Amino acid sequence: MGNASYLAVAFEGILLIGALVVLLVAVVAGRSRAVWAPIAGASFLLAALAGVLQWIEVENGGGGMFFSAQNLQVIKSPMVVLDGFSAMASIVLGLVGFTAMLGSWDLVAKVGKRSAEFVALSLLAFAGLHMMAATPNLVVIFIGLETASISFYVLAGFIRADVKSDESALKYFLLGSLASALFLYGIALTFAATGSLTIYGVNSIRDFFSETVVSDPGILLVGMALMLVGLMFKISAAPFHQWAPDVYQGAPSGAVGLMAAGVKIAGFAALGRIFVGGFISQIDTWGPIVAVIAALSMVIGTTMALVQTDMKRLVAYSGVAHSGYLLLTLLAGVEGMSAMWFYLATYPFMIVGTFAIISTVSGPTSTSSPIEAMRGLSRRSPEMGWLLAIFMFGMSGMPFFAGFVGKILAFIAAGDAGYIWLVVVATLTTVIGFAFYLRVVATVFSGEDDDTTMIDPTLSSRFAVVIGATVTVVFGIVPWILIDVVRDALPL
Amino acid sequence: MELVDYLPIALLTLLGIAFAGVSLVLARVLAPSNPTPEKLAPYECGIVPLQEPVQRFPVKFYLVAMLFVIFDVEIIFLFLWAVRMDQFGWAGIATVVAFMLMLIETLAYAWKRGALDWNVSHRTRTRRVVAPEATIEKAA
Amino acid sequence: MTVSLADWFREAANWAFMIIAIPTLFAGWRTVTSNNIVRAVLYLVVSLAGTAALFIMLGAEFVGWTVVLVYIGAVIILFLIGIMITRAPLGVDADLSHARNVRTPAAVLGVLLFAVIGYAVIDAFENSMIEPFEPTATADLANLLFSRWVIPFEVVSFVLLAALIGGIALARKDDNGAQR
Repeated sequence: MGNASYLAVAFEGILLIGALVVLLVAVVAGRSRAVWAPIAGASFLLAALAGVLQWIEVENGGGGMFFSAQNLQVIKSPMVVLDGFSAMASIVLGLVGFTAMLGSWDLVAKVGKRSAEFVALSLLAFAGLHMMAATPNLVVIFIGLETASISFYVLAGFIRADVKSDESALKYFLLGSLASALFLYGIALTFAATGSLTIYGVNSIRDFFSETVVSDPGILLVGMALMLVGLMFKISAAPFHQWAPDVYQGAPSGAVGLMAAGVKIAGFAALGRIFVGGFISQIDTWGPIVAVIAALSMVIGTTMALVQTDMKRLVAYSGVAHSGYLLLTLLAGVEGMSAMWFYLATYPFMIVGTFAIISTVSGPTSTSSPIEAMRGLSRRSPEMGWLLAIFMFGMSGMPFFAGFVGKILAFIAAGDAGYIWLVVVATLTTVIGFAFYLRVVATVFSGEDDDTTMIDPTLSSRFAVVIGATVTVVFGIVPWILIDVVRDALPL
Repeated sequence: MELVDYLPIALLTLLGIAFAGVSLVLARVLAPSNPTPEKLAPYECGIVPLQEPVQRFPVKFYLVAMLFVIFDVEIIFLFLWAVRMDQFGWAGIATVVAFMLMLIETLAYAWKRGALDWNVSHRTRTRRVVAPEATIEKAA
Repeated sequence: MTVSLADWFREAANWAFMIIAIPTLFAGWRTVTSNNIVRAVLYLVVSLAGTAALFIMLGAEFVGWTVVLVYIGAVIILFLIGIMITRAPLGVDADLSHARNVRTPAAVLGVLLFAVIGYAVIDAFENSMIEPFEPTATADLANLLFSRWVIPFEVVSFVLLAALIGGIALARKDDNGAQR
């Protein structure tokens, strides 16, 4: 295939081969986990490395569209696109996947024989997630979404003995399938309206908008709205967020970081690809809807997080609020993409780190984790206590942590796009949000002296937490390193 | 296939529905109906059933059904390849083999791991715990 | 171009459509209202068969037969086995019907979604007639799948792989013999 670029699909290829090798090794070498650990880790790191190579290739002008049919000009129907956007997604997903896998390793150690399945599913899920960012074709985006979703449904229910885990998986599955179905319906109606399934190339959605004046946009509106709803569900933006707290709480603690962080990254990458890449000329139509969803997410996420008593539910509702902040960046169109990638390159590390700590404190297979369990953590395990505080500060948007820079960039993007009222709402919710983040920090640093059950985190979760904290702190103090990089992370 | 070619299929379908319907109606009309509680009870080799069976079917059936669905979907794709197999040549075969290899490897994994074993007891070291109800039933 | 009601009834295809569509609709309705779970599944079969017939009427033969093979042939079997392995009561189950305060909003939402999509589609295409068309030959689909859509075709195996591993992970026996 003359139009093939194996670099453009390196991320998916490496993770797929990693998953297959894990299964193969599990068949040949038996149950020794020591063999799979390096394979899983190496797959994620190699995939991130492939992302770096993709990035260099794009910087040197080697990006573009690839993988059309044989004997067909690539411009006719590209299936894979290599640009700053997809290369950035490779790097971020690879590194987040690696860190999250470290954080999940306690759980992998507990599930016995099935650990190979856990690792293989995680690898496949991330391959699917990256597909959502790296293809101009709506059908392939849907297939990627399904690959990731199916894997995550199973991960949520991985602890079968626990009814809560089952319930979590079932809830996630039913609601997630509905969202996927709506997304698919949206694709169909968009196809009916524009006659195209691809964002770039000849006869694409973009061409349609540049050539046609849409006078009667009814069917297009419904198509866009359904696609929006499907993706909003996946990123748990209000009012499509109800599943998130229950699923986060019911899923085994060790697996939630992997699910939550990965879906956020890919969900927003797909939103950016479809709505900023494809429907940018319709921004006046979908902009206000996204703005309302963003405001709802910020308000509902923050207020609900205030009253939570469970750590995992708290992080879930905080994730709803963060989806709101992230949606601000979409409103700015292409200019907002660098802000989005700054946010996506830092916030998921905080999620992963937080869940690694939760999994350490409450046990990797636990399905609930009351905030009270964190009491006196600073004494019982000083490093975990301090690092949890760092994550809480990072998420709250405290200055000198990466969350602050991410939020400021998002606010600027929304302000530039003219949504001043939204910036006001976002600032208010950020200030209110300090309350619940600081409550967790206060719990960590309080408690009677007699509670001295020491917690000894495993090496892998230590690594995960330290990597997450490093990202949170470094890009909070010297954010321009990352800002300079993400400036080029634009869709084609 | 032209739409007209479906006419025999439609006729056959109608014929099937008609046959079933007519049979049911005739049976209702012609057969004597004189039910007694004994006649309505489920027939269990002449023994009166005391309770619902404790366990329904083992989960293994479900696993097999699930595998069946997945490979059924795969067959659909292979069918498309099969109708033009000669034309696609080796490139087509390579595509299809790549498609199938992954699933076959996973099936091998499942097989090796005993997911397809019908009688697991001889493989697991732990003894199967027999539910008390089942023991009672057996004794009875 | 508008189509009068009389013209509509003169067209044989429309009669065929009604003969298929009405039982399909009825079966779909009974699927969600039936209090007996096995009957609900069997009504679903009728509904799916009707859908397949409609696909064939639209000239999408392959899709129609795929519905028959995959949905009626496999998914329904999965449903029935699912009913068999759980302790779901096989007879009438009053719990199958949700309380009115759950049913009503769900029904309203469903009707609303239908109305919006239906309105949008009718609004977009109005009374435009579909030109006479040949049914899509399966061979043409094959040509497309193995040329333009070959990447998505390979990628579908990712989904199947995830489903296969997931199915094994969830349904297989544990080391300790505990059964779900």
